Formats: sequence, structure tokens, C-alpha cells
Amino acid sequence: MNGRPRVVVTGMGIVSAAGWTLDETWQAIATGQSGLRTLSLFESPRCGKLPVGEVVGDPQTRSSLASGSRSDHLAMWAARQAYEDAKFGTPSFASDRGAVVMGALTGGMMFTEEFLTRLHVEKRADGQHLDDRACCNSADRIAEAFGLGGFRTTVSNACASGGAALGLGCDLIEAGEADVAFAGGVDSLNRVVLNGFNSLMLVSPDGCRPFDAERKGMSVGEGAGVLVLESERHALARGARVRAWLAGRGNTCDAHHVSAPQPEGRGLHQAMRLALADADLAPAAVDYINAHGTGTADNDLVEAKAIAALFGEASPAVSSTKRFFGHTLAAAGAIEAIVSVLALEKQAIPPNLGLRTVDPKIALAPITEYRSAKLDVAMSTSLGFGGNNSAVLFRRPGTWEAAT
Amino acid sequence: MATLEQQIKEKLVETLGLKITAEAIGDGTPLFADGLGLDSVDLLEIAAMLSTYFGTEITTADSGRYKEIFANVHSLADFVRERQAANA
Amino acid sequence: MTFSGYAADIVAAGVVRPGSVPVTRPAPVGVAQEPWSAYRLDAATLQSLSPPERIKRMGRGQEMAIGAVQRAIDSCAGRTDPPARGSGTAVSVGTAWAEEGDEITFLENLIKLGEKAAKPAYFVNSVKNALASQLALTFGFQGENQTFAHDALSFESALWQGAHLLRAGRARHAIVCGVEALVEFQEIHGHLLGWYGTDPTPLAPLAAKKRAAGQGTLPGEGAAAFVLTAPGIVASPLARLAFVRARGPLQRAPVLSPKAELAFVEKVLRDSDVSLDGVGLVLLGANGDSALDGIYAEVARGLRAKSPGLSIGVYRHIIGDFATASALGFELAVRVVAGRSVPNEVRVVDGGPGSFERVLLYHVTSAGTHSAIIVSA
Repeated sequence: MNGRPRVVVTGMGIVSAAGWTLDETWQAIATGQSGLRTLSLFESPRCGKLPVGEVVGDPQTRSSLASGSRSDHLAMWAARQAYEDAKFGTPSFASDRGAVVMGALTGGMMFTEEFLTRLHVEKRADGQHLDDRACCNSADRIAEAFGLGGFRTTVSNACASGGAALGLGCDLIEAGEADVAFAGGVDSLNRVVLNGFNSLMLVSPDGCRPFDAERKGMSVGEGAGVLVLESERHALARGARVRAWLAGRGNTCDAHHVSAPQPEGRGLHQAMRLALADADLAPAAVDYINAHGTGTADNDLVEAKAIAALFGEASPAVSSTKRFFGHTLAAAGAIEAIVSVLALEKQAIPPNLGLRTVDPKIALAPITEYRSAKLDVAMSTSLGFGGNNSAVLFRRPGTWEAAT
Repeated sequence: MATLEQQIKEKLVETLGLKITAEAIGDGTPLFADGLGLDSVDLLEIAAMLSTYFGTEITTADSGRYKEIFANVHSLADFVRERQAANA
Repeated sequence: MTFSGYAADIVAAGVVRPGSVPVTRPAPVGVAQEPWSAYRLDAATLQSLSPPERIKRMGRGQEMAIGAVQRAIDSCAGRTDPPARGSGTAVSVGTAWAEEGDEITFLENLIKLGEKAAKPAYFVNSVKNALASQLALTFGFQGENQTFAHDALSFESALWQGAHLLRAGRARHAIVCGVEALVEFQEIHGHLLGWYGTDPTPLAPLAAKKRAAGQGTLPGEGAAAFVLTAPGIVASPLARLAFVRARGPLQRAPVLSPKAELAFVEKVLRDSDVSLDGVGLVLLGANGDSALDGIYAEVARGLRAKSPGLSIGVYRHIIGDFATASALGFELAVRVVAGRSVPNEVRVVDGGPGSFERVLLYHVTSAGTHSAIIVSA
């Protein structure tokens, strides 16, 4: 190793259309139960029939927040699960050494919508909830709830935010700036994102089918994923259970187009290459890739090319789990990182739900049935608007010698 | 009464926030590539504009004809007229 | 104690500033009667950011970021290698609101004209990394591309991260920017939440004559961009980033304590191995709000009591207040150190002007976030 502190995962928390807990989520994955459903959160004449990854039930009942946006409630619930999963004793960690890095895009966008609707329709300005609009609020609420007084920020790299947040959490621990980092992502459904993606003709009328020959687009989703990242030394000293080693990560930018990916997937290819170099592993070491696989014509094709170019004939098992959750935007990188860690723990591959026939232009054979497999290394990839690419690589406990 | 081409040009400038006047756009000026240099997202903006201001819907069923429909202002106007005749 | 490795060299800087006096406009109909004032980009600046060959519209935040980065790159000529196209140049942008104006336009279209009128280009632009990705597109920078949108921690996050990735060897150059484009919705937001008042006179932080209680501060806008390299690579950088720390409060709406603020600054000095006597100028992010002025005044007093040679300066009197205004403060600090003199934009309120080799920037907000940045020669 090159002397950098190892960053391990000691806690995880999740919420999405597929379930309120890690167990519920894995149950859905193991039984092939899609979380996509009909929109009920708000009325939408144009988008109301599009399947969405809407969380069922009121997140505020589980967030322990008296006020805040839907994103805040989702984020807090995921963070609380992660905190409890990490089983911090007392004292847990020095406040100034506890960081928060959340990926977020929407924040309290619903409050902006409500304000403008009232202003234009009822002609009155009501400032209620304006202070819950900002996308940085979720990170603040998490910091307040768990005494995280160290570095704090919100990363907003569109759909690659979650992966980037995990990378920054690693940076903080490696730099000695933090011992513990709550890192993840959150986003919630609202008219802007649903109509936004729909106006770009990117949304499927029958739910996303990643890599499928007949795929018609993505499904917009919502949710939150939070991981507790910790320096291995700090984790071992307090006898924490290590869930995985976040062994490598890579981030690049296509610099090609504001919303379309570079057609050969060069940016993603480079991000995956960087993650492997970071982990000091060869491509052949990867056992499973949880792909971004949104189900759009462009994304899936580009991602398949990048994977084929990097791994060649020896492609690891691949699946996109987006038909379980929808595309949870800034939460995707975190939710799917959690799925990757669970795959390593359960020694099972989450299926690429929704896939019937692989697009002949795609040189991949995604796994369509839930099945056991020997998995030591899993990689999670994300691509976002603006050409952002993120790859995060995890190793299963027992496959390395812990630092003493 | 302004021609359909003229109306379309004005709406193009307005909705895309172009920094040229409607008059500077020729009926046959290519909208993409070497002409105005618009891109795939702008194409969707134009589709939304046709729907909002000219009552003309473009759907994925038309996707085989995008290049032809969105070539220039003249082809956009022809498409609008074609749809109006079909709905009459 | 060695602090975590985020020191870096600053090789170039570029800035886009608003007009130096507030401009008054009618408040939006239905929201308020009295007109609203703000420090806004003037017509000449707006013109210069929007070259005629660029036919397609770009958001104002994007234009400001590009303008600031272009100025930084232009200033490299004859002095140092400019940042290269490709994966060797990373981009880190701090912006609390990014291109929010486009998001508002998108929403207003939905509300007024219905969902069929959804404007896709405006949606794409309303994603917060639209500024950073436009920088990548315009200049061909393919390295790591990050956007930090966390209120008054945004620019400081970008600075920390940009410096860190340089020292980790992940890029040769890091472009770090702080940008905020003021749109009407933010004026609405700030006025309704009581941050901004209707006093149209320029801000006067720490001046004898204070703004009336409840008159708050005034919003502004601007962009500052910096080209950073890992320490020691470039022979003569403009200045060195010695340290950056930014922290958020542990409760919502905390009561600010000058003692705690002083302790924060002193810990930064200890952790960066810089003595107070080694600091020449303290640049405060004071925004003229009368309550906040009190906190800043006490902190300044406390610092000068320990080191009477310290000079104290302010800068938001000519750019207004906004989440990433510290980026423009940072640009001034770089100029102070590089030029060994105090630019006109800095108003020295205590201790007198001079030739300073080290500047400490300190900022605290009424929400309780605070930050400290040390720039040295």
C-alpha cells in the first residue's frame, strides 16, 4: 500500500421506492420486486402516467425533524440508520473530526414551486418554507443531529453527485482532516425534475429497462443513501464491524456536451481506470459492476462501450438496479454503492430487472436473475449531466490484511 | 400580418435567447451545425416552442424525420402547415 | 502539529466584479412596495462577458465563471504555463445557487403556460453543475469536475478540495472558482427572510455610522477564479494558499459568541503554525449588518489586543454580500500579498495600510457558519 489510511465502510442507511431499510431493499432485490409505481406525490397532467420511483409513506414520520423539505426527511432517515448501523459507543468520535458530505440536487425545490405558484396564481408572496429550499440543508440537519462539527459540504454534480460525495469523504479521511465522514446523497420528486427530464424526451412510459433493445428511457426516482466512512485505524480501535473497504475511486469530466455523454464512453472509461489504479488492482480483479444503466438510449450504449473497452473479453458480472429504485439522481451513486456493498456481503448479484433482450449494439450480458456468486471486488459507476463520471470500488472484508 | 416563417423566427430568438435578430435568420439558414450551431437540447426547446405557440406536437413517432423537420425555418413552417392541414 | 495537506500555490487569478455602488430597482409586483437595491454587474461588464460570436444564450452565472477563468488564464501570458486542455486540469466551483435563474424560468413556464411549455435547455442549465461543466466544455478541461453548493461554505469547500487533489497528484492544475449570479428570486428569498433591507446606501462594515437595525445587508454578485498548482512546481507563484478551514454550526440559528469566534481563529493559527504576529492584514467578510458588525468588531478588537500591529480591512462594501463573496475577498488577499500593497477595493478600518506578506481572511454569517483562509507570500 502507498501509506494512505484505508477508508472503510462501518455503517449504511437507505430509503427508496424499494424500501425503508437495508433489509427491505435487499428483499426487493432478491425477489425481483420493482419499486416503480404511479405518481401520487403531486398532480401532473403531462407526466402523471409515467412510472416513478416514489417513496411510499411520509418520510417526515421517520426523520425526527419538526420541519424541512422532503429531501431533508429522506436524508435524515438514511443518516440515522447509518449512524445506528455503525454502532458508535460513547464517546463516538471527536466532533471536529466528524465530517458530512452529501450529494444533492433538488433540496426543497417543492417549496420554490409552491411559492411561485402562490405568487402567480393567488398573487401573494408567502415566505414560509423559503429557508428550507437550499439543497445544502440536508447535510446541515445531519451534522446537527449527530454532532458532526468537522468539514461539511454539499456536492452537486448532477447524477454523479453520490459517487463524488463518497470520493470526497475518502479525501477527507486520507488527508487526516476527519476520522469519520457521513457521505451519501439525497433527492426527492418534484415537478421540475419530472417535467425537466420528460421535456428532454428521456423518460420511459413503461418503466426503465436498462440495456434492453426496446428501452425507452429512464424512470425518475427519489431516495437517500448514507454511508459512514471511517479510517480503518479509527474503526479497529473502537471495535467497529467493517462492512467493506472503499479501496478506489475515480472522477472525470467528458467536456463533450452539456447533457449527452461522450459517445465512446471515454470519460467513464478513464474514471474506472483511475478507480482501479487507486485501488492498485487490475481490471480482472473486478467481480461485479453495478452500472449506472438508466435505460436511456445514450447512457446504456456509452456505458457498455466503456466497460467493453476497459475489461474486454473478461467482463465482470454487470447489472443495473435502476428498475428497483428509478434514477434517484444525486442519491443514485450512494444508493448503488450500498447495493454494491450488500452484494459483497450477501455474495449474490442483484439482477438487471426489466431486461428482456439485450440491445444487439451492447456487448454486455447483464445478469437478469438473482444468484449467488463469489464476489470480492465490486464497482459502482455513475454518469451525470455535464459529462461527470464517477467510479467507486469496494473490497469485501477478509480479502486484505487490516492495518495494525 | 407576419408570415409563419417570420413568427417562427421571432419565437426562436425569444425562446432560445439568441443574440441575433429575427431578421438575421434566413428562411434557409441551417439551424444546426454550420448555421446557427444549435444542438440536441435546443431541438427539444424548439419542439416545446412549436407546441406552446403553434399548437404543433412533435412526437417520437416523427423521430425518423427530425433532420428534415428541423433543418431550417422554412422546413419548420412547412411542418406546422402540414399539421394544421391534417387537423383541419 | 502538521495540518492536513491542502496548501497550494496560486499562479493566476481573475475576477468579475459588480458595480461598486448599489443599483436600485422596483421590487417584484406582489412581493413588496419599496424598491430593492443590490450590487449588480454593470452594463459594460455584462457586455464584455457575452462576446458577439456566441449566438446562443448562456446563463449569467456561466458567463461570469467563464469570464473570471478567462481573465485568470490571460494573466498567465509571459509569466507561467496556462492550465492545459485535457485530464491534467481539474475544475472546482463553489456556488450556492448556480444558474437558479434558469430553474425559476423553467418553473414559471410550467406554472403560467402548463407542462407542455417545459423548456428543456433551462432544465439542463438549472442543474447546479452547469457552471462547472460549461467551464470544462469551453476550455476543454477533462480532469475532476466538482461543484459545491453549500451556502457560505461553497467556495471554501472548492478551495480545500482543489488544493487537496493537487497534493494527491490527481491533476497538474486546479481551477478553483467562487461564483454567484444574483437573480430576482434570490432577492425575494433574502428580503422575505429578513437578510436584506431597503436602505439603498452602500454597505459600511465596521464604520462608525451603522445601518439601522433590521436594515440587514445588501445582496451582490460576482465571480473569482484561481489557477492553483501543488506547492513548489511553479517558480514564482502570485501567492501561496497556506490554510483553509470552514465549519458549519451544530444547531440551527445559533447565538453567535465573539469569544467562540476568536477561539476559532486562534485554533486556525495554531493548526497552521502561523503566529498572529506573522499575520499582517486580517480581511473581514463583514457585510454591514449591524448585529454581525458587532461580532466582527469584537473579534477584530480581540485580535489586535493580542497583536497590536495587525491591520484590519473590509471589502464587502463594494461587492455586496453573497454566499461566495469570500472568493472575491480571496482575490484581494492574493493581490495584497503579490503586490505587497493594499488595493483600493480594500478599506482598511484599523491599523493602517502597509506592505503585507500574510493575509488572514475571516468570515462569519448570522447562520453560524465561519471560515478562515490564510494567504502568504
